[in-house]
Amino acid sequence: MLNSIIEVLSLSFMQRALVVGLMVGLVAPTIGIFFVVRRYSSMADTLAHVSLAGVAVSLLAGTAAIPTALVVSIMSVLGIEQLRENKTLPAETIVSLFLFGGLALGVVLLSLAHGHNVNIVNYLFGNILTVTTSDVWNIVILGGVVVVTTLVCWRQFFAISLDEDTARAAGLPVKLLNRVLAILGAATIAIAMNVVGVLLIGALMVIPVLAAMQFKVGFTRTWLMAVIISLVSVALGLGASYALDLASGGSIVLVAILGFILSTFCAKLMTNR
Amino acid sequence: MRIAKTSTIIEAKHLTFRRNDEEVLHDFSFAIHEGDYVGVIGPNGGGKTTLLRLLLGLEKPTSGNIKILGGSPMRRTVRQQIGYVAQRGGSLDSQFPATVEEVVKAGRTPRLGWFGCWKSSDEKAVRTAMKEMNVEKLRERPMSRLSGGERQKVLLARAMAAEPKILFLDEPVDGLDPQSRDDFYKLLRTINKRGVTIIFVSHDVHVISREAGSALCLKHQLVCHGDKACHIQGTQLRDLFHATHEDLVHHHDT
Repeated sequence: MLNSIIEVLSLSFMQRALVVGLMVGLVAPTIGIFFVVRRYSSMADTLAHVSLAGVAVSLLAGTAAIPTALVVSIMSVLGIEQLRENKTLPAETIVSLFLFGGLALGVVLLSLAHGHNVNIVNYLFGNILTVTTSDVWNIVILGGVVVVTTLVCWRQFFAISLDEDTARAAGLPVKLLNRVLAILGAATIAIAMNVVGVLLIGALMVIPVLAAMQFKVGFTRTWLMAVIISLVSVALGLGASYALDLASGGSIVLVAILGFILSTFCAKLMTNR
Repeated sequence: MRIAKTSTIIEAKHLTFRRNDEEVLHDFSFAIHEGDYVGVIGPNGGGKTTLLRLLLGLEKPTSGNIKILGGSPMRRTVRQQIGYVAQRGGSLDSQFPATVEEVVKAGRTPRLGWFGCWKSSDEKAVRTAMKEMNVEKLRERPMSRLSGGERQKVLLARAMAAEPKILFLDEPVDGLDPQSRDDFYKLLRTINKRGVTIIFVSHDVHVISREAGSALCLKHQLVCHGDKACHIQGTQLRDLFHATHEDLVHHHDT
């Protein structure tokens, strides 16, 4: 068993997959926890669908997929935040508009790019085993920036997540912090695109956090537990994907769901004790 | 009329606020002094919460101006000296995964700045706020496992962690049982005695009469702002609150 694991880990594509997977496993719940506690989970899905439009733009323009998707996502989140602050439409309506708009634009642009030699399925469902060395560097650097920025602004993000009005009344720059958080969300989506695919990114941002929340242990501990659940999901999901020749993104998310079920069960046991 | 004994801490001049072509507040002027304990009272929909939001800088007046601590309520340096407890905890989700200590510490965050480190003075302010509001023993408890009274005390501790000069409260005891209400008002009296100016909104004439040092009565416009006794004519009071004149006369000297 140990020999098999060592053998698998000696494969360079598996090493790249593991590094990228673990980085995504760290970044996704770190940003995801703020989306979840603000009841803004659908934002992750919206950004994912918008980034699909970004991938389509990159195919037509001949640019790199991840940076292009990042730029398109950032433009969208800034639009969402602006509309949300104007309060002319409910937040869910705005998010839905961008979700369906992004998907529709992506589909139309992809139909235009039909002649290009593209495997769009990799972007939709993720294929971590095809990650290149340059992808690894891009993801590690961008992921590092997201984690460090989030940790630096941790207290501020926490305060605006608790109650925006109180935070604003007390002098926090809520508008700016909302935009920074949304941009970090967009970066997370861009990072995770290769790993779990745009259709499943939201799951990795949300499910480990929901699993950790079952224990009702406070915010920082919830985040730490979510990161552990996420990292374990990525490692086990990747292993299952390799061993059983399954899709990597789906395998990781299914393990995370299993983690959620186990957490719910364990939390109930602890409460009844 | 009020005899000026301390410096003016809040000053509103000709304040008017319109929302969707409806005039919520009309030509409103008043001054509040340092150390005052002011109850803002008026009927539902009379503009109490709007006035509070204007004072907090959460809304901009259509016309007129507000000065708090000599500056605009939009200024960060002014806001950092203000504490706020919203109605029913504002938008704070009852299932939010945070402990009492984490929530109280969040009240100190605006004092830290962008890259501000958590210093021993911040820790001390948080400990003092928790101790004074009697929530120290709850520090590790999740917010979702608190009673309504405990929750409001925690939110008051969060506001006090910033060591504010002015404390705004919007119907802070709404939905609490009588014992929790009494406990809460006792805490507010202690805070006020330390020199913190308190402005709290309520629709309860009896509470304003019993607790506040002065009352600011409004129904879209200023009906009266007075110290000790707010002399509203019986007909006005009936019209405003469906209460009697005696209900609104303060008895703090007796």
